[in-house]
This record gives sequence, structure tokens and C-alpha cells, in this order.
Amino acid sequence: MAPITIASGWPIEARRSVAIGGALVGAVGCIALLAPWLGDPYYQDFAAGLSPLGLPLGPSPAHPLGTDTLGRDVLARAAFAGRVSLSIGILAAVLSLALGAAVGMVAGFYGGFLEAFLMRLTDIGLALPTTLAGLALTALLPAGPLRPVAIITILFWAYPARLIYNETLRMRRRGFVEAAVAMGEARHRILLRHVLPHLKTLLLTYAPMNAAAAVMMEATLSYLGAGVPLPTPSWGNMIGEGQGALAFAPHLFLAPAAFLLLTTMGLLLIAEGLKQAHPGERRFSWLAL
Amino acid sequence: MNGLEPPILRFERVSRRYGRFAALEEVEFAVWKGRILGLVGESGSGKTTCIRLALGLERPSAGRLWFRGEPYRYRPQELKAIRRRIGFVFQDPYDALDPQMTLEEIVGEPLRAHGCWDARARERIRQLLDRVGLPDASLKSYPAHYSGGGLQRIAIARALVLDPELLLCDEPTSNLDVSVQAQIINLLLELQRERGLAMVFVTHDLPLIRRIADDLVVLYAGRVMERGPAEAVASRPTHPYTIALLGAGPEGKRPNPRVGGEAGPVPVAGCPFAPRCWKAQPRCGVERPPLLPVGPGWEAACFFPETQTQMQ
Repeated sequence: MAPITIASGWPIEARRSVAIGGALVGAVGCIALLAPWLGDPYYQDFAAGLSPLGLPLGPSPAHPLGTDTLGRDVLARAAFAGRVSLSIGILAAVLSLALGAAVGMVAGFYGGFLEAFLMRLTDIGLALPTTLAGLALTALLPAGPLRPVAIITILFWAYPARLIYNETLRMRRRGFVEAAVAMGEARHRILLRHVLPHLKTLLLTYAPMNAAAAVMMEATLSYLGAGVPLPTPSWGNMIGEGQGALAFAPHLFLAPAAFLLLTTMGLLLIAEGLKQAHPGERRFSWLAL
Repeated sequence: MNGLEPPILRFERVSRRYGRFAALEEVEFAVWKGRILGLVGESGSGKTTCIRLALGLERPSAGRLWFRGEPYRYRPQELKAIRRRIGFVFQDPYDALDPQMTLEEIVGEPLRAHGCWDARARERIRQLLDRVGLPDASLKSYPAHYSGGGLQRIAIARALVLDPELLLCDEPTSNLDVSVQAQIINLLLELQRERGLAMVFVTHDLPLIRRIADDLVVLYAGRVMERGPAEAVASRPTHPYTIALLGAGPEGKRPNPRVGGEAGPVPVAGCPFAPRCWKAQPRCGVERPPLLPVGPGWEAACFFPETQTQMQ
């Protein structure tokens, strides 16, 4: 297998991007992992957690990011929200990428009815207005922590499907793929042994971008109240709550927004670095899909 | 050869059309055990389509292919059984081998595809690589370590790993350095003789094919123009197209297709070569000339074949 994970031969810009991006995502991830030691996200401390006037507190040694309107520790909440948002976002990103890759490869390689059917389905997926369809699906699907995962997967799989489909079509015309057909190799084996390994880099560079978009989508859904059920914190619903207190306690809005920003920025930097590290690969963007 | 044994591969009035475009039209030829059939023509004449049909990568629009007296059937298992007995070498060695696979995986792929991988497979691959002139090649190396000639040797080893009866070579040397071409040709010829293979050799290089082939089929625009014993056809070509291909047309009128590039649009009726032919008569534009005998086992699709041409 080609050594795509070894960074030693990468251009300096690529390594820098991946390192900075990795550090950002890693830092947010560490805070999320440490959440249980950062305080109780649900404990409403009306005595010490609020000012004498009943307003949220600003940053202090006891509450590094202050407290919210119910006297809950914002850092603890943001850290727990990180667990929720990151796991939902990354799980949905992986699922949508896996589903999209499978659909694209099967459609591109087997052709015929399967191709027509799967690609029309993909067209529908691409035509969905993301946020609106997300809200509609929220109304349709049973509530629970897996609901946002399912919704994001349904909204996102079509993009990688289209990308992988095009690439698989190109692969099908390659000499070694035709050779494998001509020597009598079974089609599913050709797909796994010849086509998939050549899509690896594309999938790898697409993955962090997909994850960034998925984390953002999860925030959008929970901001709109369609994410995880309250009082479970998520960056999206924390931003929503903080919005109301923007005038007197901007940290309620800024803290989760900063976490969200650092995460998506980190993921996009990783994606950018991986793209620079594989200059021969076909470029893609959200617009070019 | 004894007249009882069927040919290894036979094309019976095979046509292949893409929409209204006919890539092949009623092509007939046969390849026997131990013999080399040369398939010549310009690009676009349908040579590669013949190879793809023989490999089952495409199906004929009309007509039929036969393998050792059995008609081609296109159900997966039946097609696989035919493919097991056919080796092939493609034109572009850089594209024909998966760059992410090791030599062992590449050469062993036919074995795995047909469930023939066993304890001695690795040794067999090793021997084959020795035989094709890569004794020092590591089984763990990748195609990127080899030049075009080396890659083509690997492709030849892959083609032979299942002991095929038929070897299809689609311009196996046209992407290689001139210095390497002769080595690869000689290797293919040695192996063909050693193993008594039936071989189809596709090329646009008539002088080359004249040296190596037993029989010759000259294709133009998907039709057989002339076919017969290679030596006879190449030394005394009768079809004006064959003559032109050999660079022997009368001065000034020679269409010289090898230098002149693409053939023009092919007429719907009559002889496809008529627009470029210096001997064309009104009849040639109306009526399709059938293959007419011009010698023993030798036919040309021309109403006015040359009989005086003598090549040195």
C-alpha cells in the first residue's frame, strides 16, 4: 500500500496545516474528554453561581468561563457539549462518508439499473435544502441522541456519493481494472482490491471536511432546538441560550461559539493540509460537487 | 492444423456497432494452436475492439465468437471459464498494472481470481518472473520501480501464470522505447513457441508483423480488407489498402495512411477504402466487394486487386 500516512515527504505548508489543525481539534477533544473533572454541567448553583442581582457571573477561578443564567458552570457545560457535538458530528461524518462511498462505488462500477437508481437518489439528496430538510426530519424521526446522527447522515451522504461515483467511473476505464475484469476476477473483488485502494486518498482528504460540516450541522440543528433534548448541553443549544443574554453576559454566547469555531477551523486546516500533501489527487470543493 | 481440431479462437461474421457507428463489420478469422495471427490496420480500424471482444469485455452486436469449437456465452461462470484460458498483454504497461499492488499480487491475481492459489503459487510466480527476464525482481516490489519494458515483462508473466492456450497482444511494444521493443517481441515469440500458444498480435507495424506472424488479417474501418498467409500477403499484397499500408502505392497517388493520419468518413455503401483508393471505379462506391480468393488460403475484398506488386 502506498504510504499515504507518512508525513515526512510532505511539503512544509501541508505539515504545518495538519499540525495546527490537529492541535486545535486535539485541544478541544481533550477538554471534552476531561469534562467529568471540570465540574457538573447540570448543577444549578443559585447561591454562589449568580450575582446578588441574579445575573450570570463572569470568569473567575471557581468558574473559568463564568456561569450561565441558572448558575451552571459554563466550562463544564461547554466541555460536556463538546462530547455531544463531537461524537454526533464525527459519527455522522463517518457514516455519511461510508454510505456515500458505498453508493458511489456501486453505482459507478456496476452500472445499469443500480447506477440509474442510486444516482437519481443521490440527485434527490443533493437537492435537499439542508436546514429545512433537517427540521422536517426532526419532526418525523423519534427523539433521542441518535436522531441528529441519522439526520446529518441522511443530509450528507449524497455529496461524497457523487464525488466517489465520478472517481469510480474514471477508475473503471483504467487498464488494470479492465485487466482484472478480463482475467475473470469477480466484480466485488475488483471493487475492493483495485478501486477502493485508489479512492483512499480522496476519502482521507474528504473526511475532515465532512466532519467539519457535520459538526456545524449538529450545532445548527441544536441551535434551532432540533438537536439533542435539553438540558443536555450542545454547542448549538448553548449558543441559542447565550444569544438571549448577549447584552449582559456575552461569554454565554462566546464560549460555545469559540469551541465550535476552533473545532471546524482545526478540521478544515487538517483537510487543507492533506490536500496539499496529495497534489496529484483530484481537487474538490463543496461547489464543484 | 490436422483439419479436425477446431481453432482456438474463431470470429464468425462478428459485428460490433455503437449506435450507428460500426466498429467491426462481419469480421471473420481464426487462430490455431501454435500459430500467430497478425491483426493490422490503422488506429480506428477495429483491432482493439477485436481483442476486447475476445476477452469478453464487449459483446458482438451480430455474429458469434468461438473458443475451441464452443460458442462464447456471456453468463458469468461460462465467461470466466473462457477467460481462464486466455492471457493478454495490453498496450500501455503503465496503466495495465495496479500501482498499489506488489509484483506477487499482480502476477498472482489470475491465480486468486480462479481459486488456484496454493502453497506453490509463490514459487511459480518466481519462476515466471525469471523466465520473462526479471530474475532479480523482488516479489514485494511495486510497479513504480520498473521501466516500461520491465512492466511489460511483468504483464507477460501475469498473462502466462494460468498456462493459457491463447495469448492476445494489443500493440504490446508501441509504448516502449525502440531499444526495448525487440527484446519484448523476442520474449513473446520464444514463449509462444515454447508453449505452443495460439497468439493474436495486434499492431500497425506491418514490417514487424510480417516477420513474426503466420497469418495476417488486414482491417480497415472495421472490415477485413485482405487475409491470408503472412508471408504471401506481405510480399505480394493484392488489396490497394494493404499495398498502401506497406508504403508501396504508386507515387503521387499513394494515400499513405500511416503518414496521412486519420481516414476520412467511411462511406455508407460500397468499399470503405474507395475514397482513398487510386484504383477506385464507380462500382466501388456502390457495391461492397466481398472477400474474393486471390491465392491459396488468401482472400482480398477488392474488385480490382493488384497482382503485380512485389515487395522485397
